Amino acid sequence: MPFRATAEPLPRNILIVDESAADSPFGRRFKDQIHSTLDAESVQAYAMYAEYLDFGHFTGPSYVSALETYLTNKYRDKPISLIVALGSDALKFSARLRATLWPSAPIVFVTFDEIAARDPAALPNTTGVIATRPFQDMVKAARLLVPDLAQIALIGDLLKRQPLRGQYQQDVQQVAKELDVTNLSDLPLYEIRKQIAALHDDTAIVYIPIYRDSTGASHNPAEALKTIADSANRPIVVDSEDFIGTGATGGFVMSAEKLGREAGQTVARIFNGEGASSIPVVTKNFNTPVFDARKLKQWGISESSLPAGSVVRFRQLNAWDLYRWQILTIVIIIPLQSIIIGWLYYEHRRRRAAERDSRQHLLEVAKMDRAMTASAMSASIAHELNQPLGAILNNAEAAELLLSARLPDREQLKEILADIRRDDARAAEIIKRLRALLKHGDLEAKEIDLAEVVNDTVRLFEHQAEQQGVVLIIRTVPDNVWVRADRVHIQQVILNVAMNAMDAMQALPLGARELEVDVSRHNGDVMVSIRDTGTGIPDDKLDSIFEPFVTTKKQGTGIGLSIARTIMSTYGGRIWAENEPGGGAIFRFTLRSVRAEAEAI
Amino acid sequence: MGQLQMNADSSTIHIVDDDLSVRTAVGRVLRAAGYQVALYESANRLLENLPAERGCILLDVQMPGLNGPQLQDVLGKMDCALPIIFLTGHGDIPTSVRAIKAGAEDFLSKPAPKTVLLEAVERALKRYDDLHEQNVRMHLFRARYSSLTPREREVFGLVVRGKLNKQIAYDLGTSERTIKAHRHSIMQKFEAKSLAELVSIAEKLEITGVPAGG
Repeated sequence: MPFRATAEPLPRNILIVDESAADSPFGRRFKDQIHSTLDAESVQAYAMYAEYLDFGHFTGPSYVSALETYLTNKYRDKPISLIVALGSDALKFSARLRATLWPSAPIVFVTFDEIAARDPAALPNTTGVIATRPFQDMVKAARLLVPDLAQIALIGDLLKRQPLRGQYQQDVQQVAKELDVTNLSDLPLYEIRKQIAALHDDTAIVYIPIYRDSTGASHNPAEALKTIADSANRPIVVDSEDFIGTGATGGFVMSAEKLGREAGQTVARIFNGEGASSIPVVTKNFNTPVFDARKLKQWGISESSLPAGSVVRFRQLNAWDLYRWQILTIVIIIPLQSIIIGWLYYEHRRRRAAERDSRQHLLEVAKMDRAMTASAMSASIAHELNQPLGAILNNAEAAELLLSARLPDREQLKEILADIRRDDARAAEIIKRLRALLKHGDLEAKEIDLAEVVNDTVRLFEHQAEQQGVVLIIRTVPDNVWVRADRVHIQQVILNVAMNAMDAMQALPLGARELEVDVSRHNGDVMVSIRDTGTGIPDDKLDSIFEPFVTTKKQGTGIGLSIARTIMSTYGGRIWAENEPGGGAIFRFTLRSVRAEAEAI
Repeated sequence: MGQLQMNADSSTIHIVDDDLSVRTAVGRVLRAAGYQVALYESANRLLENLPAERGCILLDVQMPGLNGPQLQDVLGKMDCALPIIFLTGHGDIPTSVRAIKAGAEDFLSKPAPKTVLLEAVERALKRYDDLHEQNVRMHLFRARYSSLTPREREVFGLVVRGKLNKQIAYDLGTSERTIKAHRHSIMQKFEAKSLAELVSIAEKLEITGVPAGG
């Protein structure tokens, strides 16, 4: 059987070899970004493994060889098809691992210095990114934060031990030519804290990770920074995003995302068939200016002095940031509410004005109606007035005749004079009643005896009733029925209803015209009923006759009863009409009795 | 004035008004002017003691119960000879016209001053007297007519129709001389001086001159 060279396609196993510690946020973000980039590039069916060499904490040939042995054994049966190396030491390590286990696997590296890059460029089947990370970026950031910068206080592990910062040793020497670089590296933390608490104003602190201090104590670099920053009297510049938010003011920092994307895209190209060697190595500065807003504020640095494209994190969220929608809602709702309240208030005012107008209007119309009623009654009133006037005249004439006698009858003269006086009072009373009906000025609700008002009002139309052959029956059995209303208004209601009733009986034969006015108590109210023997009211009009301009009379204006209803409602009373089963209409109105308690005693 | 006083003595003015003040005051004026006065508070009160002697009625138009015009109707049917003067608070035209047509003497509006009142009363009494005199004369004519013999009544009927003695004699189948004698007797019984006077009496008696028999 001939050997078939068609091998199974290699499983897409990616191994990330990171020279920093496993808990480095930078490494984690870098790995996550490769993941999402591969997903975005539609790379299917791959697996990703990661190894953290932790060269910051651990160094030495024995550690490295132990690590090599460990990993060689670990991956003996796990074919890796591609290695991503983060850091130049990781790259060197990966190259050795590859030679042992997977000679054909390409390497994609990310390193941070051109020094290291010289070697990888010579490696076979290898490509990657050289992210330049000049220490000069630290100085650039320091100048932004301290414009008159003269001194740099450098803290961190010994530069030679720094992972991912291979370039710095050389760069710092360069910078030291222009600036006073105080190297506080490799001091115990407490000593560093003491030193950086008393720096000059023209100084910026530059922090590079502390993994171990000179006492041999091991640190988490971010935690170490946090401890130091509390004592610092000057802003701290950093080069890694990991330190933004743990006490640093900011700096041109390495972006794990940018690097991860760059590496991920290269990986995708290789998986898509490109040879690693044919992809040129990219050399680029991936640093991004990132600052901590809280620290900027602490050191009095304006955000406007930062370079364009700066990312400012940890902005103190003010009320606007936190409650934008609530604020917007409130800002919108308050004017709306104000408008609504204003509108309602305006409407309220309008309504009050309208009510006032309508009351004024009612008073005017009511007065007009009373004038019309009075005018309708004028003949009757004239007659009534003529009675006492005529009597006075004739009495006076009789007295004159008596006085012309030789012996005037003194007793009779006295009688005549008394009668004249009585008739004069009677005429005055008629005029008073009439004037009350036509009264101007304010009407006022007072406590009035409804029985008395009814009796007085009946006297206004009793002559007319007589003329029209109407028999009046008045029943005011419970006298002293007190209600709160204006006397003239109540008179008007009674007059209106009574005059209507008398008109309604015009067509009846003489003996059949009867008008009964009755005052009675009705559930704590006082009720006045005005009954006639006329033709009644059509059932469908029992309610509508109280509406304006509705009339059943040929010559009615239709305002009398609507005024009556308005008047009654003004005093909290009610007026309605019924038909008597035997014929004729009954108008009833009720008013609340105001002296019920007093009467009960 | 003397004439007035004399008339007043023998007559009663009946005042019907439901208003006590008015009827008292009107009554006082008339009494002071020398009339006898009777006061009634309603039409029924008057009808209860319907007076017969000389006088007139002062009647209020608007009254409870029977009103003025209604009382006028009742009195008319009862052949009451008393003239009626209406007193009204407001002289409404239809009522006045109706009252006057029904024979009211006068229609006064209240308040009526003494002079107006007395003049009206005087006129009413004059009318009463005229009517009375007329009645007396009628009564006399009727009595005289009844004193005629049946034959004389026949002749009277024909004479007042303007027939000649000759024609009458022919109609009744008797002689012209007999008719002349009847005619003379009739003229004497009626105390008539001419044929014209006799015709006038016949008119008053409403003798149409239709023959009593065939």
